[in-house]
Parts: sequence; structure tokens; C-alpha cells
Amino acid sequence: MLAKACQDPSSSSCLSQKFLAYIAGNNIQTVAGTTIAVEGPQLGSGQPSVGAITLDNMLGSPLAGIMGGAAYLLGGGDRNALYASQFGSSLDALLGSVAGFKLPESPYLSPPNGATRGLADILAENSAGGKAAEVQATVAFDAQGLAVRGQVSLVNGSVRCIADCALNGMPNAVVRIPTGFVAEDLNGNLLVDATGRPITSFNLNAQGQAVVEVKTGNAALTANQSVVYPAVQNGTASGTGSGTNAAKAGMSGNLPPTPVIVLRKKG
Amino acid sequence: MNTFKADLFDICEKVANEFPGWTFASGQFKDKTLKHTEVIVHLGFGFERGTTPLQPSVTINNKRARKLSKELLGVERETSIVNFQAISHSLVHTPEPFRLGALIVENKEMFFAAAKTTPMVESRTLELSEAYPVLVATLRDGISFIQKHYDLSSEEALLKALPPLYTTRHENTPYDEMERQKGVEVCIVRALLGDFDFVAHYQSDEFRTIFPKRTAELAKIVDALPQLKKRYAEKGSVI
Repeated sequence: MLAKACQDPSSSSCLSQKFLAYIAGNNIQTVAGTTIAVEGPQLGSGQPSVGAITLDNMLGSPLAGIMGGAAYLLGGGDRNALYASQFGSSLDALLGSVAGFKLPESPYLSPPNGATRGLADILAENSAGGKAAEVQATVAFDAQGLAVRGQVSLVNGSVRCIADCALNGMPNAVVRIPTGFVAEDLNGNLLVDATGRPITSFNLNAQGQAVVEVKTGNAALTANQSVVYPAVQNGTASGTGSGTNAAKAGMSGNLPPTPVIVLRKKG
Repeated sequence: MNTFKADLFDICEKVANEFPGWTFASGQFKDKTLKHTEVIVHLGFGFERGTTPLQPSVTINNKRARKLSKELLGVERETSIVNFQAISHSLVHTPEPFRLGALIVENKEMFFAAAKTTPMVESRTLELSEAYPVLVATLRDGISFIQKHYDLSSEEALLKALPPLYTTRHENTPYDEMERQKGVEVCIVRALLGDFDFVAHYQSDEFRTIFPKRTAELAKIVDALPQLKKRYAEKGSVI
């Protein structure tokens, strides 16, 4: 049934069948163009806690969070929640990559006063912490006299992502990395200088521009950012058009090769 | 229950109602009283996880310039953009902590508790319930800049007086009105006015710019000049 339903991978019946297969404890694989379910690994005591893996999944993707949470809410155990959260992560990535669709991320909502600190609080802290880190970096760039534009939409083909900051300054200007952050490349590798120390500055391009993505904790690039940012660096991406933040940042239309720096908040 | 975005847009509509001729739509204050040009104070919203930045700019959209831009370059562009951040030193109404921008959140107390923020971040953060007077000040500063830096007495006067002249807040923020896409847009405006020599002058090495010129786009305008000159001679207008 799974193979038949997934002849059209983007169909709702395919997604439903994948969900059922996950709940039954299977992994989904595509072999020679056919989608099949194979038995998933048995989680034993030698592996990390099922609950911990589930929580990681739930924190990593909105749908994973929703589905994992729903599984717990409906009385499911860790295993069911794990499979539901795994499916949620897959669905999140699938939707993101197929349609360039971005799911709403969790707002910084807390449970009512007196409630136990739970998943909602953890999600809220991650979300608010990420936004606060963006402001912290923005203030530091402002102090260097740079123009900073937040929430800038960039496109590669049909894939769109939103960058935290677009920087504008003088051609090839040196930008100091804000205190409390380290710079990484798009693969999550620490950027180091010739002596192996973390870099303390980077350069804008000849157009006086760079893109900065701010991350906290272990957060990785989103699926869409992983597609668009390399294209921004290669000069094959573009910014969205008139009336958008990209236009206000002087980044609408085809972009020349533009550096993308991931700033990760330390501690 | 209203969403954060809907609540903020409601506040923006109330702000626009205080200024005759101004409306609020799609995240921007607009004055549509001129037939030839839309005058805009764009707020730079970008909604994410119950927050949005406030990063205003003044935008002038001349309808004929946009049409010619579309015809020659394949894209409509703003005729003039000035970000508040570049002129923050000349803002008078916007409260000082927010002149370089702000983060609007639904509830500051909850946001600060969840984010474990620093005083620096907190000084830039604005709660939804505090947004109204700040947005009034933003629109007031925008209108003030427009009145001082653009000639809205006629379409020709507006186009002839472009680009606006101003100083920027910092030596690392270049005055970029003749640079990159903005430079190309000035060429479009000059062509609209029948100043066909300007494009070649701008394209030449004699015209110094801070950043590399958008040569591909300039070449498209130059290629279209014979046709534009013909139209101008026949109809008195290139579009």
C-alpha cells in the first residue's frame, strides 16, 4: 500500500501511509524509485534514552514537536512518541523542500503560572533565546556603523528561506564578530584563522554586503537555508522583489557571490 | 482570538487614521493622494515566532518609473528608498532607543523570562501595548523626511529632484543613492525625463561610485535608448 500510495510522493495518501508505517515501528526508504517500509532499529538500553531522542526530535522541528506531543497526549509511550516525532521531522523537511513552505515556529508561550516546566517552556526558551541573540548581534553590528536588515527573503529556484540579517557597509569592509558569538561555515564548522584560533572578523563583499544567520544551542540550518545559502555564496541566488525587506536591503534580484556567516551564541 | 500580527496591524490602522491622507496596508503606511506616485513609510515587519522587527524606511514609488523599470529590466523597483537606520541621527520623533530599529513582542515580561535577555536587548524591545506611540512617531518622522527631501509639487519636480540628498549616521554607512540598484534607478528616472545622455555618463569611468556598477542592467537601458528616444520624440514621453 505504501509503495502504491507513494507513486506520487507529495500526495496526502503517501504521507498518511508513511505515518502509519512509522507508527508501526518501520523506517521509510526509497529503493530504485519505490517507497518501502523496513523494520526500524530496536531501541535498547545500550542506546540513548528513547525519551531523550524523542525530545531532540521534537525540539528540532515544529511538526515533530506537534506529533510527538500528540502521541504522548493520546496516551502513547516513548516509542510511539519517538516514531511520531521522527515522522514529523521527515514531514517538516519534506514540506520545506518540496514546496518551499515554512511551518510556523513556536511562539514564546509559557504554561499558566504554577504549571510544571515542560516541553512548551523549553520550546519557548529556544525560540525567544534565538530571537534575543539576533537582537544582540544586530546591536553589535549597528555599533560598527553597519546597516542591518532583519528577516530578508532569499531565493534559489523554487526554494526560499529567510535570513536573520543582511549587512550593508563599505566595499570589503571588515566586520568584527560580536562578543559572545563564534563564526561557523554552512556545515557547522568553526571558522578559524591561520593559527587555528576562531576568527574575530570577516569581510563584506565588493558590494559591501553579507548575510548573517544567528543560531543558538545546537540549532542547525533549516532545510531551505541549506539549499539557499550555498547558492548565495556562489552567486546563483536572488533576493525577493519590490516592497520586501530584501529590496530595502539592496538585495532584490540576482545577487553576486555574497558571504554567509553563521554566528553561534556561545554558552 | 486575534493573532499577534492582526493585533499589530489593527494598531497600525489606528495610527494611519491620525494622519489625513494616509492608510495602512500590507505592512506599510501609504499616502496615495498623488496620482503619479505612491509615498510610503514601510515598516520592515517580518513576523516570526510572535515577534517582528520594526525597521522603517521611506519609499517613493513613481508609477511610470516602475513601469519603465519593468519594461527594461524585467522587474519593478522602488523609485527611491531611504532606510531610517541610515538617517537615525536626524530622526526627532522616534524615541532614541528605537531609532536604529526595534523588536516588537507580544509580551515583554514573558519574552525576557524565556530569552534570558541582556539590558542591551531589552532596551531595543517593544511590547505590543507600547507600540502605538512609537508607530505614530515613526510615521511622523517619515512624513517629516519626505517633506524635507522630496519635491511633491508635481511629478516632474519630484523626478528632477531625485535622488534625495542627506547625510548618513556613520562613516561606515555610505551615502548610496547613486550606488548599485539605486544608481540604476536614477538612470531610469533620467530616461523618463528625456535626459538620455545621463546613462552613458553614469556608465563611464568618469562617474565614480563606491561600489561596482550594475553593468548588465545599465547595458539593458543603453540598448533600449534608441527606442526610448524615438518614443520621446514622437509622443513627448518614453512610456
